[in-house]
Amino acid sequence: MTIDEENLEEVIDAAVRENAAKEHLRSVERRRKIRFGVIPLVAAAAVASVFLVMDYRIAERGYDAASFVMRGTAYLDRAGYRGVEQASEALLSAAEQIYRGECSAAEESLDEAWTLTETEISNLGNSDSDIMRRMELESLLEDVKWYKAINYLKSKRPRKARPILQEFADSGSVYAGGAAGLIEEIWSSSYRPL
Amino acid sequence: MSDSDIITGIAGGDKRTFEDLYWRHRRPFVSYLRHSQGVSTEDALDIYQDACAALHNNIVTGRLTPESLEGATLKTYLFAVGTKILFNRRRKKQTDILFDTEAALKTGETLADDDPDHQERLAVIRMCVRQMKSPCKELLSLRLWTGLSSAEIAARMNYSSDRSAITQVSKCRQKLITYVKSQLKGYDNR
Repeated sequence: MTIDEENLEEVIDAAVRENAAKEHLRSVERRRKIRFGVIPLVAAAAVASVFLVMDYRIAERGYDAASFVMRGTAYLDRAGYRGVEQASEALLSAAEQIYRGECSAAEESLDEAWTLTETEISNLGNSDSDIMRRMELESLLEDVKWYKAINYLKSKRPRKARPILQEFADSGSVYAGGAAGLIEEIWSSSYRPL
Repeated sequence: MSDSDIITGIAGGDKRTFEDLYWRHRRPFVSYLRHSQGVSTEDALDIYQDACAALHNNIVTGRLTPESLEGATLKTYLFAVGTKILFNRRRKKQTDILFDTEAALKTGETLADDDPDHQERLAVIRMCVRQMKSPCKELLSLRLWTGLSSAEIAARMNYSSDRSAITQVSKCRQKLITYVKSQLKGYDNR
């Protein structure tokens, strides 16, 4: 079809129709994009909410378990470790603070106990007595680490507690059994309390 | 749904049928242009929409009927129109391409449509249409694309009577024709 005076109006009408048709198809494409964009968004939100609920439950279980572990705090041996009284005192304070739910203060006390003990270890030499002493202080560090994990649980930060507990569970530490039990109790969906 | 049903549906103003046709061939068409002609997905989609719009216009104006397909399918028709649009776009950029003349002829267009001057004039008209402002854009679309009656347009656009709608559509159409003529005159005087 050529364009001349006679058919100009017809060509213009066709151009109007084609323009409207194209705009319609573009809106159809946009609708589709929105539809396909919304589906993954809803799915992601659903998955996220499932994880949020799971996280909440784990945090609650961790808190309960930590409270259970700390029940015996009042009967802790206050004698402490020989030669590192300040560190021992900080550790005992931390335990009491965890028991009372003063988690920030407990974290500071645990950091203090850790630093003091590490400094003491770094001053030791290679004599037999120093080696024995190092072993004793390393068990103090282990105590500090254990209480750190418990403090994380008590402050509802189970993600931070998990690697520490796992490390204990995989080791030959005195806390291995306790850590494995806590992992099972807090993170296993099949766990049923006795 | 057969090609014949699709043509009948679109001719009767059924937009759903038009959308169904659009989705049915969209992916193969875009894939075809991408792989055989090296066109980007975005450009292929734009060409496909132009082809669908042209097909729609040919159906509602009665240029394309089930009989005029002469045994070819709507898909072939659509692909031929699309290839032709691509050809015209590339020619505008003075790029050589392989062109399936036989397929293009099946679209029912004449060779005059491939005339560069014709294409330029068409481009001027399309530009004028795109530049239309509200309410003329809506009015002419409702009349020529949606196919609403004067009463329906009056109701949609809140006009007092059918008569007002008819007057407004007529005024807008005349305004567009005058504008197109002035632009074509400018093009011819270049």
